Amino acid sequence: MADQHPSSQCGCGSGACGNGGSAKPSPASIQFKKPASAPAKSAVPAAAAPPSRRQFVGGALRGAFLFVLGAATSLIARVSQKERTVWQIDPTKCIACTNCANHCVLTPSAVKCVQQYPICGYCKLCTGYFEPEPNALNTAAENQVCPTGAIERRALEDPYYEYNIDEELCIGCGKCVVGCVVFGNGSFSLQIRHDRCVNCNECAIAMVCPADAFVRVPASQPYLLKTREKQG
Amino acid sequence: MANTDQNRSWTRRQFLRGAGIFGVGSAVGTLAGRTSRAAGAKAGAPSAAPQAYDVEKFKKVDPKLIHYEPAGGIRPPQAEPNRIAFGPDEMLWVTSGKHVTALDQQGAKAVEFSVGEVVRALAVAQDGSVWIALRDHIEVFNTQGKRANKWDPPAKKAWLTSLAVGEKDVFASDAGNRAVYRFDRAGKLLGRLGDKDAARKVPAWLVPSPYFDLEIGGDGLLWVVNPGQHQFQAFTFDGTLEKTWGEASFGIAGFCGCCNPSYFTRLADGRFVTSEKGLPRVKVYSTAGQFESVVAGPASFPKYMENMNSNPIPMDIAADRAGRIYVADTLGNQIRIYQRKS
Repeated sequence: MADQHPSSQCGCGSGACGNGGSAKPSPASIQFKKPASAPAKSAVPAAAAPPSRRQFVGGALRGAFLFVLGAATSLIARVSQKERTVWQIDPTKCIACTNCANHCVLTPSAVKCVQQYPICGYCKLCTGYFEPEPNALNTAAENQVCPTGAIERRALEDPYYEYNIDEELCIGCGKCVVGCVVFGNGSFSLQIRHDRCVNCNECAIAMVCPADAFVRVPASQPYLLKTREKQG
Repeated sequence: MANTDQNRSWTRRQFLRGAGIFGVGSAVGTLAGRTSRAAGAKAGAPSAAPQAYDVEKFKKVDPKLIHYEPAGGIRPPQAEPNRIAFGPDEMLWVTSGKHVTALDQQGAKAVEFSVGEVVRALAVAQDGSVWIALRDHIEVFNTQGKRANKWDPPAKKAWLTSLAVGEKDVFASDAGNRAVYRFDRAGKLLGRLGDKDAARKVPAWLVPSPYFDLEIGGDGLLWVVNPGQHQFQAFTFDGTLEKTWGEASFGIAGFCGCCNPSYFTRLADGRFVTSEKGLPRVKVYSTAGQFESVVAGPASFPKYMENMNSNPIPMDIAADRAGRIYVADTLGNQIRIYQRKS
């Protein structure tokens, strides 16, 4: 302790700091000394004292470690987010076989018919809405394709009609999809609705899909919609 | 009695044997049931009935109605033939993607050229010039395939689907804008036909998909299919609606679905030949629109029936002077020829 600069706590022991240190101090000798009588708070604050080299290097290392840790965490979070995928139906492969209605773990199924308005022809005789040979083109139940009456038909300017899907009633059987794809232009298609799907690791419908139409898609873009170009 | 009672009682061995047989039987039964259920599920056997869209009965055509028979076919040099048309010299012009090919009467390639994008429509004028529509504009070629003209798109979002070329007029249908345009042969837009006009009793065009065919008839009228209304409409060149025929029906005499007939052509005597998608049917109608006969029914196009639920494709048709009907079988990579049964 005798070698320690009495007026400072630099601990260099070499005199490089200009405090005239001489011999290398033993580790035990490098310590902060509390003054015998603690100075008043208004006196020179402790922060004003320059940090020792060891303190500086230690602080820098800690900072660097925290920086690397933060960057790694962020990277892992981003990578794991990127890889997160969900199930979806490829509408170009789907044959609307009815399995979606009957094999989902949920009742009713998380698969619903979706209407793509930019493709729809707004037909008076919609083959997705009407049975193949309807008695009349009206909303009577016997004329409708949908077994649960989930399609709403609304008259627009003659001769156009708008068709909307009531997802609370839709069971995802795809009967309307067949009518629309085969005889119409395919604006109806089946999609897994992600506000309902529980995203099972092994999707019960995917296991029985005869067209291999179930695919994993990024969670950030969970729907596979048709384009007019592809459909045309 | 004592004897009988003795016979009825089971020994321990008998009991164990019975229980063993029962256990093995149950296990085998359970296993078989599971296996068959799993096999059914793997095969994706869809559950039946109320959820099935049933058109099975419409796939069958009464053989008595089929008045035509296959008479060979032509395999064009480029795959997937799409649009076909006869020229004045009986050359058969075929488009396949971006390629346009002329085939002579033996089916040999006479001329071939290609354009920048997929050809959507094709017409051959009486002077032999070849008119093609790409998605939004029209290009004109001479008989050797040299481009003579290229027009500007008639409208934004144009999706041209068919062409008809007369002596002075050219007509083009646009599914994107639900319009039929009339041009002069230099490409100047003269007007539109068939827009909804209650005063002139012209219904609106209903065009759900890009199949909107038209042709100039020998009667001097422009015949246009209104596919969503399942009707043929005949207009004078200045847009007066003269005639209408056609009915919506899955029955053989009508047009099914909401986009049919997809294509049509006229025989030399003015009768109509129609082609439908969904249920692939080629049929003949009289000049007054009465159903006459079937050229080919769904059973003639098994590949189309296989793809029915995912990708129904219509087949373009053309007729030569002898009354033979040519069908562009896109999925079969050939031009099928049908002739009237003798």
